[in-house]
Amino acid sequence: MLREIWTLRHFWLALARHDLKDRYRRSILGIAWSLLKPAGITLILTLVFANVFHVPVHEYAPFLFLGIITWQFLNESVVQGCNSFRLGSTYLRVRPVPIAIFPLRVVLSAGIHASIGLVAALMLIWYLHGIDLALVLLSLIPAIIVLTITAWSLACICGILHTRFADTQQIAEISLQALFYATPVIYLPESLHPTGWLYMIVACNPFAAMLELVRRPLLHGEPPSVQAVMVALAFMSVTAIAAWLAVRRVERRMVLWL
Amino acid sequence: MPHIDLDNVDLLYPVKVHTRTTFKDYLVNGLFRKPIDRPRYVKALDQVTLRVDGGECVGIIGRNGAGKSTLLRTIAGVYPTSAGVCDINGKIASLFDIAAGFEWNATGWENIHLRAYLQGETPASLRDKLGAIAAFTELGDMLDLPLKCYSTGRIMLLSFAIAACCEPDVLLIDEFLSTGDLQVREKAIGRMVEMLRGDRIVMIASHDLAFLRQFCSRIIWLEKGRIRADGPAECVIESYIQSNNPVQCKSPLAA
Repeated sequence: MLREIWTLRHFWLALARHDLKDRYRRSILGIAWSLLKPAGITLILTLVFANVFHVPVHEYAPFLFLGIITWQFLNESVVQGCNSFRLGSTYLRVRPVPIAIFPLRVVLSAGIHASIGLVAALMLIWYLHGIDLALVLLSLIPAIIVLTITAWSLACICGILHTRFADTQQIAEISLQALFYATPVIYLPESLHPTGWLYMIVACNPFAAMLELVRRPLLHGEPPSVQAVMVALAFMSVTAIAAWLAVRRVERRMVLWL
Repeated sequence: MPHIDLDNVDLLYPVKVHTRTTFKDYLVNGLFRKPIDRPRYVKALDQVTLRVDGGECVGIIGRNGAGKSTLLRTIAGVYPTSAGVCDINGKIASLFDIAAGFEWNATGWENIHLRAYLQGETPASLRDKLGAIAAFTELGDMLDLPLKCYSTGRIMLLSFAIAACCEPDVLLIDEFLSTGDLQVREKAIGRMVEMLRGDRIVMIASHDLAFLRQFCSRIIWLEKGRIRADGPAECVIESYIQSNNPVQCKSPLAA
């Protein structure tokens, strides 16, 4: 399966490139728009929550910005992933292709969008605190790989469910909304009481672990906690295996259901 | 040399109405212990056996819903067979549905790249063919416009150009050329004849019997998913016309 996906790389890369072009063509600001939205949200939320949590703005703003772009990447991958096979059905009717390329297209497009934000975040952090480039690259590259594989797997699973159950996308959106509050995107994980129930949820929440993978090295200049790495890797493995099995099961017959 | 070899191929097609439920339905039906609506199937292909060799131009005829498109899509590998063996040797290009396989907001050039990559081209192999594809389409500067600005005939010519220039061994065409004007058709047909000389296979499903008579040496007549006749074009078309004889069922147009 992976080999076929690789031989078709020119195709799905061209699709992702087209998606990005289409997305930026619609706004005059172009690529700047992909920065403006998370930057705007960060600005507003920083003004409010830096006060609520009593943290200095220069610490809270990068924390929030990294959280928002990472969360947006995962959120977009899952929500768009639901529709990815329906979007790709037009190509599936021309020739048989490995179906996993369609969720991959969505994840890539969301990923490039997020990387622009990430570069901006890096520059902001470098300006505010300075960064250890070796540590950042060493920890960020594996983190990006883990995030991409997880997002791809989730997009595959949600996409397959969506071809059979028409309300998958709505359920995914509601679940993500709930998950958003169980993930320290806006609030600081340190602000939770270590004996409270939310603390326990956050500790086991793979999305919280993935945010930790991105944030810890960039904000604190140290490698992510062992616990976060374990949770993120375990979640990635489980979703990847589930996605692999699901894709293999429906691959040949999917075109009949679309 | 390319060949197509189908042996006792069956294809069960799920009836669309029943394919998609919601989690909500599942939950509600489960609560009240209602039986879940099982999908129903129709037999779109029924024990189809055929062999086509290089250099043959085969026409496929039959009434609406007889399985013409399904047969072509099964040969292309788009549809999975439910039973039987499907052995195809050669690179396939397919022209099924005008709308399929294009991005409507993308320009002609972008779509040429997309479609060619889908057919297995690489940027390096495509570079030399771009000129030929563009010339064949006669679209000129139109290629810089998004596809949604094109007429149906132009889109047809574009997909034909891409399919033909990627040098397939097997070309599958489903009721496709009828959208083009006379000139476009001539051009496409010229290209097909050229391909047949190189020992390639062309299969065309169509209702245009005069066209099939002219270009196909062999006709397959499908009825309810089965092969009713397979033989020289003249004979099969003649008996097809006989069986659909309009004298017997009084046509409202004749009144």
